[in-house]
Amino acid sequence: MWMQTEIKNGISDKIQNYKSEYTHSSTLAFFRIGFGLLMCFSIIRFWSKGWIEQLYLLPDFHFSYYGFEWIKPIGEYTYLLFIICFVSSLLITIGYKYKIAIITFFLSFTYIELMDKTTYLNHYYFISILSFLLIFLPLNSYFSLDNILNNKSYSLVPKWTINSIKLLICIVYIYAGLAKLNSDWLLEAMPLKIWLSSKYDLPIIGEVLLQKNWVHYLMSWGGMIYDLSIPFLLIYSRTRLIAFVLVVFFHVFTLVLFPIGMFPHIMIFCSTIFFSSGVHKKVLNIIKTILKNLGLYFKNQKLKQSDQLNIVGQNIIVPLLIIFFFLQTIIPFRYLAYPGELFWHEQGYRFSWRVMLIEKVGYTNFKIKNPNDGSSFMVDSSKFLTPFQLKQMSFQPDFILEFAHHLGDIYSGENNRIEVYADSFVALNGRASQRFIDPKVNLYNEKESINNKTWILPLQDEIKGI
Amino acid sequence: MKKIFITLILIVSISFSCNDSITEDLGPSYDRSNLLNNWYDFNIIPAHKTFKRELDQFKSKTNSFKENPSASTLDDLRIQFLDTYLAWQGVEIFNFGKAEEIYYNSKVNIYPVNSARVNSNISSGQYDLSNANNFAAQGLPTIDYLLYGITPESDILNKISSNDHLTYLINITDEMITNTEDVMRYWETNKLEFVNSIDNTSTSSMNMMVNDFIYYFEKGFRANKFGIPAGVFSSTPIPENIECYHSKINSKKLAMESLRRIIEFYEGLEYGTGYPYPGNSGASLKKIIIELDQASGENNLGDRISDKINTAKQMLSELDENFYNQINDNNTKFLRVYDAIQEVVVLLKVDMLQLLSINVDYVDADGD
Repeated sequence: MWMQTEIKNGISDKIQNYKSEYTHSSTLAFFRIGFGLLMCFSIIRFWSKGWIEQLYLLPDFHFSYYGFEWIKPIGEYTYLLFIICFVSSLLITIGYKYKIAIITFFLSFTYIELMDKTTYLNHYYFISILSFLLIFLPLNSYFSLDNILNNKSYSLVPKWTINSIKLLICIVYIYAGLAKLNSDWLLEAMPLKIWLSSKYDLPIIGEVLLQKNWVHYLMSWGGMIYDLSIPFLLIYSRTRLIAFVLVVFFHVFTLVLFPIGMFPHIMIFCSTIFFSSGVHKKVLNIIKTILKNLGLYFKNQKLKQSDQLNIVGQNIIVPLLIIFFFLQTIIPFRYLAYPGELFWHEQGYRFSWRVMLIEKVGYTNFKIKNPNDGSSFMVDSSKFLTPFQLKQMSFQPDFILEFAHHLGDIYSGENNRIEVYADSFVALNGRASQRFIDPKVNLYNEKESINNKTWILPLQDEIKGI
Repeated sequence: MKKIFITLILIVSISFSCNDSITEDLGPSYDRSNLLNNWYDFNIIPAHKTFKRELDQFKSKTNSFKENPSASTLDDLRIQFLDTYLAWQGVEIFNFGKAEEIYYNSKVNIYPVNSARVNSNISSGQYDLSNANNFAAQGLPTIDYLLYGITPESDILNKISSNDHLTYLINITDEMITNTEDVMRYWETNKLEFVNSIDNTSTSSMNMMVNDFIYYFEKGFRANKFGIPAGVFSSTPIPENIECYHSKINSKKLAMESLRRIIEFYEGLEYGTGYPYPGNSGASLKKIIIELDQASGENNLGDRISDKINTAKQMLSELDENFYNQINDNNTKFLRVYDAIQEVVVLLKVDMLQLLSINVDYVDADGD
């Protein structure tokens, strides 16, 4: 009893001590500016490629996340949503009304992502949860417009604020690495083998190097080792520089090889948070000089330099973030609750940092059957879906079910509930195609839920590993 | 640190040696530019030249009929019509460049024909054949209607030899000839650009040819010739929607010819002769697939596609010459052919596209 209390006191002392450790706030200011600018750029890029129209306005039908069916594109106002998201990114960058800006950003960005799951990307999810975390961190404590307006600036912030961002980045890398510990990735070099050998048109390396078997294995194993080791190499000060060089090399390489958009930029930027605050201070000084030269640097004579920033509500925020991180560590393992092969049925696949692990091609058609007279016909799905939606729908069971219900609603008469059957074939990571959905199950009668989808036929093969 | 590294290297080398299903390196021995050259020289150009020659023949037979309308000159015209339609089966696959731009396929072979529109065009004498509403009132299905579809049958000779009908027949033939010349000019002037566009992008000749081939197989061959008339996409069969409905007897011949052209394209055989492409590296789509799928050993995708196509061909050859009768008498047998063709579609759209890593969609959204 006595021993237990002592240990308890010891731990809580340590937590108390840790909570009162401070570090220079330039790191948070640096991260705020970089994050804000990257988000501004992402949104401009997304808009200029015409994707708002193509992905959110043109489709007649949208695939929803379970529980978020009420979130849909809002017609022409969708553009307004992106403007709100852009303006809040801008405000984050300059640190004006930071709290409101980051909350607005989190809400608008997450709303955009929830509108249609066809566009799901791991790094969009990363941005969503990162911005959620940033709501609770004082990113405007230094070098921000808020400082000037409130006449207050802080040079020190609690260390845990910076470390919580680092922790999130470490989780991403480590879980991405763990997910690569499977037989397809390590023993078959799949799906990299397919992807790399299809890049025969790249200059210099395409014709010969990317066709080599050992290159496929080297890159699979290299990617796995990279993901699992990079967090530690970044944390440890003596390997940090070489780690950063590796980060840049790795992500630029993936940028050249794969159409992965903003992900490399975001990850390269995020890894710079591991540098010491001295580095961040230097960068801020450079920005200061540039702003001065442009005549955009305002000096507030009344600005009071305080030392420590004490976070209001720290006693609520810290436990909240502990729960947040606990959830982050268990969500990727929810797939264990489902029988069968994860890469095949994809139940519990998303939100788990499983990046570039599967190459899937599907071909799914739907049969509408009238139970009254037994007549049936096949539907031309391309009448209802864009080519991009059609592609994503064809190999993901939750998409197939949602679309089957959509078809059921369209073709059912008032007093005649029709039946919907899927004729579906999928190939995974270079395997021969096989039937994906039980063709005898009327999908119109199946409900979406978190329960195991029994109408997915099992993969006739086994992938070993995590 | 060093120890961890050595351990990892050990793990890697052990796992390499344990795994005997490791494939050979993929060499650049298959040459995509060579493949495009082969398609160009041995399939595309000969198919278009043949079709053009048959069209010219048809035109001259039409003129003979005009000078001397009789049952015998009508027969000559009908025979030449079938040859022209058969030649078309080699052209429809290549919905590429100019052909796509001018809706060549729609103008030559949309069926069923809109006979009401044909009749109103003939009687008014006022029509614009480039108008999309007139696509189903020109081309080969319209000729099929004019030569076989006019009722009662005893009226055909009388009607087709009338001035207004003959004028329409000649006009739509000329339209096909003009469009074919346009398409052939495109191919002749764009050879270099075509055979050198081998990138893995949605706009390269290589990927567009593969996508066009799959599209033709799925839509032009499977759906139009079999699925739609068999009633796969409707509650009941629609035998009136077979290709060449008014002559009926030609429907199987056309489907067989189409499949022959498909096999030539896939296997790498010269148009018409059916001989393998000559030259050192007679690169073909099948050879590329075989090379990429070495890991499957006996079950190589290239061979599996050939086998399934041959099965479908065998079953197709056992159907009635007249698809209209076949669907009415025994649609189940007809549907079984459709199913056999559908099995090929799965291999082409899923297994082949995965292996070639070619995207079917043209949305350049990000991935991760």
